[in-house]
Amino acid sequence: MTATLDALANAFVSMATPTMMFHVVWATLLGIFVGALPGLTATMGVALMTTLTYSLDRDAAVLVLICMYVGAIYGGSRSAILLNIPGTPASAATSLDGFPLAKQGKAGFAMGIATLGSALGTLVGIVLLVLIAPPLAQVALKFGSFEFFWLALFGIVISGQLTKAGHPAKGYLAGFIGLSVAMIGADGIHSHVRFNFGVTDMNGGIGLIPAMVGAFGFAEVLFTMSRPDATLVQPKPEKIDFGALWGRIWAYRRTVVQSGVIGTFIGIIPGVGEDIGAWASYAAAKQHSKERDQFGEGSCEGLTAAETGNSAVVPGSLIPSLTLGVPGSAAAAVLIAALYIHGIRPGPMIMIDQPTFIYSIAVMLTFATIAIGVFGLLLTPVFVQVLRVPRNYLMPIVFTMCVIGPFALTQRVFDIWVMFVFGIIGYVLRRLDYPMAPLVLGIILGDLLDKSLRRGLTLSNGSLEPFFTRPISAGFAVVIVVTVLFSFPAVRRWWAGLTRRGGNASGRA
Amino acid sequence: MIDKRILDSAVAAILMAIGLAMLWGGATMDRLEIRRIHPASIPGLVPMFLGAAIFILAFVIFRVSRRQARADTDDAENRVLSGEVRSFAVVVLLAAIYALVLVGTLHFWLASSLFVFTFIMVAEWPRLGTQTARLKSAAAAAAVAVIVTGAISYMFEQGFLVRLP
Repeated sequence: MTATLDALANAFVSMATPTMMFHVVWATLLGIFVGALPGLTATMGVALMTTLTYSLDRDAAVLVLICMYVGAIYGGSRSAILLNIPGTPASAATSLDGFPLAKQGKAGFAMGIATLGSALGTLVGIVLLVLIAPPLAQVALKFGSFEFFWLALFGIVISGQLTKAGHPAKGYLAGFIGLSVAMIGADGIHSHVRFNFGVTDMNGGIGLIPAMVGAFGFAEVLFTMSRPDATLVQPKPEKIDFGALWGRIWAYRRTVVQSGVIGTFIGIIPGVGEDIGAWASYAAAKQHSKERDQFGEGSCEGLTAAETGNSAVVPGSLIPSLTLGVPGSAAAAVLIAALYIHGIRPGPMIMIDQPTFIYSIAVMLTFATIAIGVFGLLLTPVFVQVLRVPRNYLMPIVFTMCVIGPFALTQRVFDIWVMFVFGIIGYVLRRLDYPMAPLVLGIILGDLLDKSLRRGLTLSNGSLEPFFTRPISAGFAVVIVVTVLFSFPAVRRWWAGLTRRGGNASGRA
Repeated sequence: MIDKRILDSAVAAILMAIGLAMLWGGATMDRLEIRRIHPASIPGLVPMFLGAAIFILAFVIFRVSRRQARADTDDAENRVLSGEVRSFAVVVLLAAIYALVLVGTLHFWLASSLFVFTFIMVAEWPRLGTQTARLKSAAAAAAVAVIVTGAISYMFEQGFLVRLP
């Protein structure tokens, strides 16, 4: 424990420089703006910011990206409360109670509750990050090719299952499309070039950043321009009583801790993300609340649960990202790509190669949390003005950034084409209810799955036995099979019938 | 107006074709015998499995969407309105001209200014009733286009030392 506190103190001392504080201020503010504006998401913000930070040194670049991520997830609450349009998908649950509060003339109070809920949620997540990540990295050292194969498949399956909006097969299919994209280019074992169709630019594969900027940036521009414009609720000048705000949050302390823990653990599940964290926390709070009849009508507790839950996912999603190299959310997937650009290899070796890095991340998250707390409570009028920026002026500028950002990383016009193609594919798939998180996860995990399966089979001389007999592998295999089976309604009905009959039989006995 | 379920089955059919092509591509991929690699580590192994999985899942979606389309229930959720299709087509056209043609042909700042100005004017046009409103909007669009894209170009070129396309 003392070693952990020492490591945190050292990370704090090395980070608390005026330059780093300057980065915290501008990056968090920009993140809040990005999150607040409908049409700009946290993933898009982190992806575009990756292209802007590659010339910074490692710690400054990662700090800027973390502040952008935390700020954008929090910023989404502004438009959810004032426009009834979540600025990011993570804030969908926030609008359920935030917008009714704004209509009751309590927009300022609602934004205060959202700010404190977000800050406290991130803090709960940071504590769990520091407690869970180092031992998880130790466990991950026991992983071999067999376990990594199952881990990659587990990420795709669980993400496909939990993020689906339509038919369950669409979630899995999105994941497999992502894995297929990762098959393009030289393979990781023999360097044999696959599926390049004679285009030499594809020999190195499809870059994650251009693909993400397309799927989350250009696709979002297309979405925003094809939707009707929203009407802003004009917040009345309202003097916020900070004592009353704290009192209200203190009264919901159980909800804050519960939502923080739920959000963090949702974040640990590969590729699931902030929106699921918010909905799960909201549902759990509603179940236990004394004011559950007010949920959806302007409940401060519902708003607290949603905001605490989505913000706690941010540190949670960094736990598997740092220790296993498997992203906990779409934005964390971009963050992994950014870490590679800056010479950090996330994965089980992180506590050996960079033993202090996890603590540096915890300190960066803490700085970002303090910044959202301060800006969120003091700059409410400024954020209201930001929401007035007309989308017809904003969207072409966003697309210009989508073009220059991927180009800046590699200086290849080919990456602009990749962005464009992925934007259209992303728009069509999302319009047809295919989730994007498994697709992104597939692109990032494809190489790991491919290499682990073929290495494992080579080690076992072509036998599949170790994939099912090694304890961790067997555990993953069982979870995957159960998850896939239970996504079929017929299996769920059969299981429900079986448990009902079992219950009746024991009741009679 | 397009029926979303028909669009869904068309996309599923395309994905089925991609799955089959991938299965075929994986099966016929060079097995690198000349390099005496282990037969279990051939490069086409995972693409074969992925191709098969994509085909099966796309087939399931194809069947479900066809069945739903035949059910003949017309609700708002299943409609893609012509307004949305028009907006999508206009934005894609403008974006394609800019990203695939102008960038690399003209200086980045000029190409971006033209794109931003045209995009704003096309998007604002239906709301602009009078000549004065159009002139005002054109002036605002031109100012935003020149200043913002100039700032972006300067930031990348001078700040990040990127050779612009």
